[in-house]
Amino acid sequence: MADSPRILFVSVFHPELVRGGAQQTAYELFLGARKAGLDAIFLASCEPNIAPALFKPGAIVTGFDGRPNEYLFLSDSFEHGWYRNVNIRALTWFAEFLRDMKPDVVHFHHFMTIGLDMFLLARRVLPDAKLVLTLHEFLAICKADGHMVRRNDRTLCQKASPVRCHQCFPDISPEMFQLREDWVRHAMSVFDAFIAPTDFVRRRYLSWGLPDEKLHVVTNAQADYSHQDFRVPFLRQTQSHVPNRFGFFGQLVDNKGLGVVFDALELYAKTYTDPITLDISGANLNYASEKFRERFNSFLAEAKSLEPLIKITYHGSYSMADLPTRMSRIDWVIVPSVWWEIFALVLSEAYMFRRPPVVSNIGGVGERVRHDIDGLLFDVGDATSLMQTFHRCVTEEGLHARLAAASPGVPPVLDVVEAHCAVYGVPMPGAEPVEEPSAPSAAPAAPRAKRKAAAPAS
Amino acid sequence: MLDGTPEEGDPVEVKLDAEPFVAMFTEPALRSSTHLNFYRDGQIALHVKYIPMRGAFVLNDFQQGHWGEQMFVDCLLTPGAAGLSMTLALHEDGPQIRFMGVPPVSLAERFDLSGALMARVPPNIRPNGPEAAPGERARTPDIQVVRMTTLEGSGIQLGLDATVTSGNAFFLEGWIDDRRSPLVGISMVDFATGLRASLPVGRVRRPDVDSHLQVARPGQFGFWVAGLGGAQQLEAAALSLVFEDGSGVPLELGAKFRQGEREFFEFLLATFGRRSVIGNITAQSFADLEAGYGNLLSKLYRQIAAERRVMSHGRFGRRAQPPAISLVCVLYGYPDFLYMLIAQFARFGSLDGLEFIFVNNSPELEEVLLRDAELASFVFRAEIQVLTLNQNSGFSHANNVGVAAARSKKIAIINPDVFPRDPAAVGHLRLLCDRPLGPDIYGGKLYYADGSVMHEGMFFKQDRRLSLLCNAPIWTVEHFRKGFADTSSLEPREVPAITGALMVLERSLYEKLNGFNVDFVFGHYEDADLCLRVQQAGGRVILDPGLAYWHYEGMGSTKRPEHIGSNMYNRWFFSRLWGHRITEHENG
Repeated sequence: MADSPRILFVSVFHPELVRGGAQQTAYELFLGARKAGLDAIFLASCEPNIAPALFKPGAIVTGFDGRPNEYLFLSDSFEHGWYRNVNIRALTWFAEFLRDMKPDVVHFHHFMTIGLDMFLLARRVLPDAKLVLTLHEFLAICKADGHMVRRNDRTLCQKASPVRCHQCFPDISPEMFQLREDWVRHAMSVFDAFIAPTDFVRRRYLSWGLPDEKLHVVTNAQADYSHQDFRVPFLRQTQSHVPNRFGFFGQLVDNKGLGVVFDALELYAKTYTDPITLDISGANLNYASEKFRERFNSFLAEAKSLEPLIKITYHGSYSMADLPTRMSRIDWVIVPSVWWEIFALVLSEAYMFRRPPVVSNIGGVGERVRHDIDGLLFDVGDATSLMQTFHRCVTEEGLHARLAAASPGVPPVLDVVEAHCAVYGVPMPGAEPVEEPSAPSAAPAAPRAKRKAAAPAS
Repeated sequence: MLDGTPEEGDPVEVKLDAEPFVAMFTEPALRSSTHLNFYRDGQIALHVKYIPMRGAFVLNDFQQGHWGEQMFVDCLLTPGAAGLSMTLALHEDGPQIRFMGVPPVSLAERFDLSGALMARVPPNIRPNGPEAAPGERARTPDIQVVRMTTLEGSGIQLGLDATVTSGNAFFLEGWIDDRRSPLVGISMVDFATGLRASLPVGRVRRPDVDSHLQVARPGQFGFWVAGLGGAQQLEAAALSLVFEDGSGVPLELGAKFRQGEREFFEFLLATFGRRSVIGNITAQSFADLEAGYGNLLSKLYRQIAAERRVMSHGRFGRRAQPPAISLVCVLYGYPDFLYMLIAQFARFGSLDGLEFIFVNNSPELEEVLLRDAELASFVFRAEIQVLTLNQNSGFSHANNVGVAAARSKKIAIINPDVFPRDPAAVGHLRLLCDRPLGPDIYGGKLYYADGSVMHEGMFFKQDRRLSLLCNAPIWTVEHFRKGFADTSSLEPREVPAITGALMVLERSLYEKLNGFNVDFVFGHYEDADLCLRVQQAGGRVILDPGLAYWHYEGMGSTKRPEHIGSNMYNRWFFSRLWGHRITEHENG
């Protein structure tokens, strides 16, 4: 490892402090890189409201929980208007950290809480290092939380422009959006490579103007939790007699599309007689709009009226360790997102547990599901389409078994690390033996050489 | 915190399609932001209250448990006034709201006030009309007559709404029914010296007075007068209104509202700028300025200017070598543009040889600008100076301060919302400044964000209508091909004037001309004035399309009510200064 190139991962948050897809996959990649024998370092941002006790007077960078190679970047002055860090000490000590670590590759995951200005600094401090950015969302393009959903009418936005963005934010003039774009592009100009987790993301950034030759598609790293159940699996029912149990995993916010599921279930109750269940796992309802919160609470309050045809259970938040249990209770995973879902880790989770996904035909999720082969697509935002898909799921004989058998699972993290190394332009060291215990429910692992984890975009 | 809970107050039925609703927000109601709600089916269809800190009424509704988007109607509470009247009426194109002294505002696109409404009227808001009892609908609009003097037998009514003073000046505002004989001025006699001064009165439209007097046609029954002399001098003077027929009536002053000198000046400009008149506002303003108010504003501005000073001077990233170009940028209102201007230059390469000098006309932004200068200096390796002035000293003075601090012999005056279009634009600026610029001044070709032309030189155009109305040549400054597609020649060419948004010249020339003329108030027209002085000194004004820059016009600074008045003053001042010379030049 001493001879290995040094790779510094700079991530928005640490997944053990704040849950989220970007930090989860960044951390998995870091762990995988270490496992592969790379000299990897993980620097995760942290904000005072998340863990005030971790902020030490005068410190900008600290270790994290006594772990070697893991650090926190204590970001107390991130400014959301221009995505800058406005604490000069944060800038100077970040630069000093880079000088101290001397990484050969700096791989940023996101710029929220870190700062676009840190990109510029990284380039200046490390003129010869390879700088890489994973595009976890569209915040570079879209000020509306990077969702590219029009704020005035909630329609999907195809393209940002100063006037269109001004329509979403009437208090901000078109010129200021041009300035924003210039600033973001400037900061992003320092990168040698961009990694898009799906081709959909690559295409969208390509049309935004990122150079084709710098854009690569590499899937997100994700460990296979289907073999990591630390609980004693007594009497676990892994499959129902009729595959009529649906599960939703994710944040309870508008864009995740749970409202469409509620509408579809209400329609279902009026149309069909085949019983189904819905398990909801998720949290962060407080980040949803008031309208959605009201809809969520009133739907659950009235859910009893749909029984016995439809039984709805809200299980609350979950961690990765809970996944085996939660997944054992369901047959299908619904991903009903009504925004341009970039990647959706929940889709990977569905595949790793061989739970065929039922997915909006949009964005990265639509791209990742092969309709009628390893999952089912329905028209985004269309409750009728989803209702009909529910019915098909519970009535078409052999459908579930066929789709589950075709589930691609998740690529081994080492393969994903290797694909990243190709982008970094560094050799993949000889990996240590990887322990991947097999489980009866999982398909046999293919030899690494034959797997197609990812490849740079052509 | 607002909520949708109905407040206590007398219920009043309101049906706007039958008749308008009029109410008087008393002074205590205004100061305490007491609200007036109009309900329909238990929901607040319209919520009205005054925000003293903002100087505006806020309008909103509360439907389905949510407040809607706030709407503001600027409305200054005149010091000394007993309140502000509000009229809510239904017109052909929907409901309108009107507050005393400001034009009516259409509510059609925001509020549904059709059908039967119920207003809850708190005790300190009066449904108008002297006979209106609690719970009874007001029928006639009311105006507050603070002081009324009736000339015996003449039937003249008048009211004085405001007496505002500063340490060295005063302002009176009121109304008068002078249909018998027009008011022509105010006479002021100093008790101590016996000196008599005649002050011109400005006239304004007062819809509330029109309504009160029940006149068939709108008139200018409002008047205002301003003059030098503070509260003490006002106390020691006798004021009389003088009419065209030679008669007069003593004017009794009520409670005086005291302001600081700067605050008073801004108040006077704001009042001047947004007063309502019958006829052409510019022509009326020019007449008022000619009548003596131009000189008054000039004197007051100079008195304020005497207090100007640099509060702090920060230097960041200073290089040993003097820079090749000093870019001088005046900031007002928005701090973001310091960092963003430098970032925009840094997009196109190293900032070596460039010095950015920011002169801050907003003292309250001092700390954030120093912070951002330090950040920008570190991130972009930029050489930066930040000078913070103790007041908004205007565009001219701030630039003069900036140029005085410049380390280079070449000066680029640049607005905070002007950015290089591409690397060539920065390169061209460097190239231009590599050689002597002589007695000439260079301007850039500026573009809107959409790529259309914002500026490629300016010319002077006589405003025929205004010239006729003012009986003097009134010139306006026009931009060539503003908003047009970018199709004109790339060759540098002489033009009558260029915008101050981007000017490049020798520092020595700037100093020789004493920089921008500080007699222009705040901003506007000083750039054309400088160009004319360059030409007068034998230089040329050159538009160089190689200096291709974006100009996000109007984004770089805040607009305040006093700027409307200062713009009128500057236009008048410019016409006075240059009108005849431009006319002579145009006539050959």
